[in-house]
Amino acid sequence: MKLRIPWLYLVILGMMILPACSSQQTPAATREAGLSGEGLGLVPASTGTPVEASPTDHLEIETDVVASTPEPDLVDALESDIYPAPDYQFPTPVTDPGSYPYPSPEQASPPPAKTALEASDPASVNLVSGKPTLLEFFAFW
Amino acid sequence: MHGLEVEYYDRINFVYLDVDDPANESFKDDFEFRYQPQLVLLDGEGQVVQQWIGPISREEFMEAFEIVLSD
Repeated sequence: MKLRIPWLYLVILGMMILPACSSQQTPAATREAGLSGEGLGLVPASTGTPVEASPTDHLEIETDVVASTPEPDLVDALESDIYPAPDYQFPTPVTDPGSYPYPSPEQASPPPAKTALEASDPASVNLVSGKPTLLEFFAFW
Repeated sequence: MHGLEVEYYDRINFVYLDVDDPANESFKDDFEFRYQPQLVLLDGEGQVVQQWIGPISREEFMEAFEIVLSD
């Protein structure tokens, strides 16, 4: 009787230690056990290997939250618009040879407001152009 | 003068000649320049319509412009 008591204590101690040792598994083993539900003691719904999450499942979830993800082709096209190809040549304006390149005098826009007096080019002064002329002699000083 | 130029730019040529520029000596002789500011209003054929020496009011200019434009 006296000898059984220590043995009893040892048996109880072992039963306490063994579960603790079994919980100190590797992370991979723990993950697998968690996926399979074994570590949690869960019973899988169906027998067989666990179903791995497919790449599309992840995208489907994201599309519900965020706007639809553009297709790869569209993304490439959008990116190409931002950075034009090196050999891209910007279109040159086509001008009609017969058209008057400069706006007609009737369509001329008013001169911008001047902040300082600007001298006219004496060589370009034409006093008999058909339009009245106001000639002003001034000095900068 | 700049305000009048914006208003009459399409009907009147505005010419500004620097009296210190040697290239304008011929113009000074032609119009008998005395002292600045001196302004000369010419018709379409280059004939002198009116001359002013010294500061002139905006209304006086506009009145002269209307006369020369009506001709």
